Amino acid sequence: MRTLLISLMILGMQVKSFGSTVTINIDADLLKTASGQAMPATGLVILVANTNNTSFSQPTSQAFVSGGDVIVARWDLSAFGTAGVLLDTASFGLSGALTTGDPLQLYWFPTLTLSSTAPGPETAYGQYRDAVGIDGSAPWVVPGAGATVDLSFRTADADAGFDSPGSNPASAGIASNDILPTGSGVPIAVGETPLLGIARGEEGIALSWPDPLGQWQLQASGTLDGGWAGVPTVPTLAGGVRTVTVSGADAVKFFRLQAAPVAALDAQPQPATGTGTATTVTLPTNETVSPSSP
Amino acid sequence: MNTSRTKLCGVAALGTLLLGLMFSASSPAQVASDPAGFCQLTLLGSSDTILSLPFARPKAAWGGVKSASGSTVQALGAPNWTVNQFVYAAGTQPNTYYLRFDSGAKAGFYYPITANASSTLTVNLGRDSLAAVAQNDIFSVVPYWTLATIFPGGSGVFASPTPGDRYTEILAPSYAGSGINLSASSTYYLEGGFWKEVGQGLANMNDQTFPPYSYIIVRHNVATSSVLTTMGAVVVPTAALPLTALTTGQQDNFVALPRPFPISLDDSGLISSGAFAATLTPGSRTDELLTFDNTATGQNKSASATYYYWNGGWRCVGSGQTIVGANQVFLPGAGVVIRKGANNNSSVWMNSTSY
Repeated sequence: MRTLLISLMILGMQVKSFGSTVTINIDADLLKTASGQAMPATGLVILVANTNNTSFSQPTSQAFVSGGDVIVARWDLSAFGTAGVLLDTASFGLSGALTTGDPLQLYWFPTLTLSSTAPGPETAYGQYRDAVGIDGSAPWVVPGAGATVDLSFRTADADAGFDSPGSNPASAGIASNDILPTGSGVPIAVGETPLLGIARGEEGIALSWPDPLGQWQLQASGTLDGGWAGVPTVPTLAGGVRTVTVSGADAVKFFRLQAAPVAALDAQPQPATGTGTATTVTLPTNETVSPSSP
Repeated sequence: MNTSRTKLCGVAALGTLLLGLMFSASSPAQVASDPAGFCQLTLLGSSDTILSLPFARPKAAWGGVKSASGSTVQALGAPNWTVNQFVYAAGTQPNTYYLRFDSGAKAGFYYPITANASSTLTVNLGRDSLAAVAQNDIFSVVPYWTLATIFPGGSGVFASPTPGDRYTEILAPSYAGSGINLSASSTYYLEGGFWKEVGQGLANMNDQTFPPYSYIIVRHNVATSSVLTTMGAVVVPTAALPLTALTTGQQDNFVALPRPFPISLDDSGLISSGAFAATLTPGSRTDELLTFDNTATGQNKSASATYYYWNGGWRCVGSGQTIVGANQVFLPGAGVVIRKGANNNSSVWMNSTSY
């Protein structure tokens, strides 16, 4: 009798566990480096869920995710074994803040590997999600408990030996973002100015700076001689790094950070996302999953 | 004689100047970071553009000097760098870095980093020395520009359909060559998704670096023009540009000021730093400055103007005795040639800014 009860308990736990687990079949083709080459098979790809209904935070040199973002899967491309092509599977449990319907986003880091613990400065990465899902993909959200879904990201130059060309432009597969440097030889101390990073973003020019306490205000001018005016866009905050994206339509534009007056600090809007260290949940790797059949 | 310095970039000069005049300058007491920015440069079709980069790539690290010995700099504090994180590694670490001193006796000088430990940087000094470097001098670790970072994702250039039909070529001047009117030492083109070098087969040249403060030539072999958006950190410190001279003849130096605004001859520092030798007689010029017009179409363009320094003032060949020191001949995005005269000494051009 006791044995039967234990067996039923185990079975119940298994059913419960199975019921709260979801499976993602991922097909990403063609993932490329910053210079447009097919990403090496050793490169790192992560699938991130946003659990607090805000925009995704961006990777920083210290952390892949921050705020309400959590990593739900990590892969390299070894399962399929072809540069630029990710064909793999991952299963993860729904627990804590992670729930059905949370947005999912794919990030690829061509120069990192599965053993990388943080992106590091100036690391190139790409990102993709589609709320609806095209080219046969399910919507890029966490599926219902127990479900298995296919997420597909195919570009126009997808590997012709495996996939048909996708609807996304070839440029969508390029790791066109850079991790902005936030570190220095000497930690930023009171009175020191942070480094203002600048890089191409998906929707313009991205300015970023380490400023967890909101002590600095971004200013812009058409010249270096003066005319500095505050940039009204509210920065996003992730991992202690603030980011503002501006239009790149001007022929020339300069930016700087100025120490924000105390009154301005009090009036600054609160960040949309949290600060601090990365929050990471279940990290399935391709060591424990098997690829789908091509 | 000297005009006010309008730190502008490209064709937006008038509009941005007016904008600048509408606002008062920031209070000197206010603390501000080093600026960053972007600038759009037009690269004419069927033409050569003598391209300089107005910005540096953002720093990867910076700090103060604790000590300098031999070719190694010890940083203050505990930066905890990963061993050789600043050393190029094909396929995994695409950047090559240089150390640049931002203050002290060697301000503006830069040296390629050959190795690093958790708090030390080892550099290639060439024939130089770190003897003048002092404790607390500020340094930066800066990645070199590469083909892949100057033209990210192929922006600003045209990919070639085949190696034999090159739509855009990047010509690297012979930086180390001797003499004048030197042919390009290397030619690169974008084909098949990555950069290749003529004569080097399928070798991937994405990570090919170019010396700071030197120009490259963008040659469009197609009629269509392109726009290159360059962005990065404004180089605030003094820039030290080495100029080579020969004892046996003239020597061309392919140089570019890393400044996103025009600079006049008088403000350039060429004379005040002793880098540019004055001419004794206009008919036998010692050092010459050759400038190029990137708004003119054509390939293998000759210099659009030649300048020299005589009798206390800058002169332009063909303009008689007119003093032209106020002319803003150093334009953002445009390189120049400094032709050092024979039997002259090699020198270092120290170019400083006031912002």
